[in-house]
Amino acid sequence: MKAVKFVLYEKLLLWLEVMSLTGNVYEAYSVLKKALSWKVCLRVISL
Amino acid sequence: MEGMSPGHFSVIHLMLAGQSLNPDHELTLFIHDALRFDSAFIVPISQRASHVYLSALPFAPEQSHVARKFCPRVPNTLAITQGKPSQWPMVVFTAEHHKTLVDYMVLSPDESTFNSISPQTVYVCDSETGHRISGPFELPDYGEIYDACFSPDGKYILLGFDSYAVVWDIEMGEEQF
Repeated sequence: MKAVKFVLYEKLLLWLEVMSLTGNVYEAYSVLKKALSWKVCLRVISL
Repeated sequence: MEGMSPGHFSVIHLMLAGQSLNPDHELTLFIHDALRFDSAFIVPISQRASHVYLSALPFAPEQSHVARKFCPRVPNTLAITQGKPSQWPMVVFTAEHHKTLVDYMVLSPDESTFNSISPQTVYVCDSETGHRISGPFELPDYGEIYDACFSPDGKYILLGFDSYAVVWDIEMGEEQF
């Protein structure tokens, strides 16, 4: 949960930037939607 | 830079595992707000990454969780001094795909998509964002459409013309029979 909050509270705009640069920004909405789903958490992976 | 494969620049991947976010109300509200932010500004952001800071953040409503969190951290961008809304508008999105009058709007059974139908043209759109999923599909020229509805499984729409009924495959974008 700590990592989830870190990504959303600290890196949301950076993440949107990256999604824009990679041409995947239209997937951002569905990823955020999944974050609201029951029994779902987010794992942050830095490549 | 923009021409490179997505994998090279996917610095942050959000991946599913198995824990609930629902108990954290503040986080839930923030994600809801992030969804509105993303939906409202996805067009400029999709065109250029810098629009996150130039065309999105400065225009986000003052009470937006995203704006309250990030505006203080980006002081050297545009500042809107007048007319900035305090809350997100009640209108979630405006879909402007058609160039002519829209005759019918049909919501899919699972409410995830809708079809907007104008004479001879069909668009399939996301019902939460208004973004085009597929289309435009050209309809046969059978005259004026009098009615339209989805099949129960959401795969087809039935279009009623003056003297024809056409079953339209949404995925294929073509007339079935």
